Amino acid sequence: MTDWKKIAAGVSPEIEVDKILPVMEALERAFDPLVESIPAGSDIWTGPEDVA
Amino acid sequence: MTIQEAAAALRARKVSSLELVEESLRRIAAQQDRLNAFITVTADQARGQAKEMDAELARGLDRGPLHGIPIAHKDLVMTRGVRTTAGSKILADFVPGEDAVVAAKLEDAGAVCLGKTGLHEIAYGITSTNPHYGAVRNPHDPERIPGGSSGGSGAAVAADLVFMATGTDTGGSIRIPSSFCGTVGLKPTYERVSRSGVIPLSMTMDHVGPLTRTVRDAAIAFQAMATDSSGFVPAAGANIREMRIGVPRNFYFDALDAEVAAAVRGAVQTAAAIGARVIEVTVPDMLALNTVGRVLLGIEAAANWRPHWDRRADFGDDVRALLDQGRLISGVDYVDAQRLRRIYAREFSDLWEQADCLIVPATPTTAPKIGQMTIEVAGKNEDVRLASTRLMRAVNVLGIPSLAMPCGFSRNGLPIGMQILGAPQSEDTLLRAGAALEDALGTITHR
Repeated sequence: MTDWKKIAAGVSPEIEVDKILPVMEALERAFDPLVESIPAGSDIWTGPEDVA
Repeated sequence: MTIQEAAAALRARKVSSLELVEESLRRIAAQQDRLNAFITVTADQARGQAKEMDAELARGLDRGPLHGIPIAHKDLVMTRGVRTTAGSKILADFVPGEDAVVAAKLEDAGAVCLGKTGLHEIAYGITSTNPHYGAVRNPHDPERIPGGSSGGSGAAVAADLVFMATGTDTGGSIRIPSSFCGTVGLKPTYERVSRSGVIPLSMTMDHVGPLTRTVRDAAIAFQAMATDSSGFVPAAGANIREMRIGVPRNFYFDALDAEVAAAVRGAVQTAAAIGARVIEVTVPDMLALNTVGRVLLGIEAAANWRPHWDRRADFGDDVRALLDQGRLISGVDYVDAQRLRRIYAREFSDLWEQADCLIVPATPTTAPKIGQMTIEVAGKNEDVRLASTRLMRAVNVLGIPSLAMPCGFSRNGLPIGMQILGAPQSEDTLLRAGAALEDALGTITHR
């Protein structure tokens, strides 16, 4: 799990990281498994009709 | 009165644009303390423009169905010479030098702007309980939120203050107010309506569209707003015979208030009764799409508001926390989210081989109360923001069009909304289906 407190301290000491920590951790838990499914060489989305 | 009815009355000389504007201004004044739907009212400017529209009609110049019709803009649509706050303290005195493209297009179509509607601060939230300009209230119950972020537009249209208002939708911000206020709201295909001159939240997920009282009025407004208009407005007696309407067997109906589920299922049955072919479909992993959307939104919103990071105290607590979340997300995660977006968009597009459109619920519940942080949905407590966006956000990630419209009322008199989703550029199909269902359901509201 990412050390969000360390990252927040590096971005800005003003960020009240304790208030957002649960959200960041939940988002990471949901997002990281998705990343593992990305095939190598995948390109990024370029618009709604980019589906061919 | 609808736009179509007002347009007919204008041409029959039964009413003038100035009279419509004066009536709207009277209603706005009467309801402002109760609803707080407007941040700015431009009465004198509107009267002057209405007189010009009346003079044009008198000499035979007809700009079309919006000619002389009172409308309003969400207060993040830039308006030349009229302050545009984005619901933010930081932009409280910002007066643009030019109109947004969509404001200019509506003015060219003859619409008369009466002012700027309230919204959730910087359009980053779904309550429209704004710490700087006050809470916008729901016309059906002023103790409840109108939804957001286009809450003022939803309230203004639902309370008959204007015939149409612009909205923007990054994670449901047109469709949530439509659902909670009982209006029609169209989130078009990404970029089908220009974002130029609209203060951005998330540049790859922001969409601009209309909120109106009827589907046909939404069609009229959309065709005036669109970059590449087809001009299509559903005729009287629009039919959906043989239209393939998909109903998801997974995700969308899994956790809903029972009254919402019953109303949307009822609309599906009505669609079948008037000739549509209803088929069950399986949608891809919508929770994954929602997660991708939250990553994209977080970092894009933080980037858009980066010039104002040094004014932390001038953001409301909820928005400041959301911007802080975005600042912590890595660039690598952002690129991976855009890669996942492409993968899921391709999966989702396979659905259009099976169905012409999908009918799904809009919000899992009716409007929550102002200040309510959690809401019970199907026996479980959910965060109000996450619950209200749960059936919305994926559509912004995909960039596909969605028409939100009423499909009934709860026992305590609150509107229930549904969505009709379609393939990119399929707005005309959605509007045809929506108009046929609106006729069959009898949901044009008269309060």
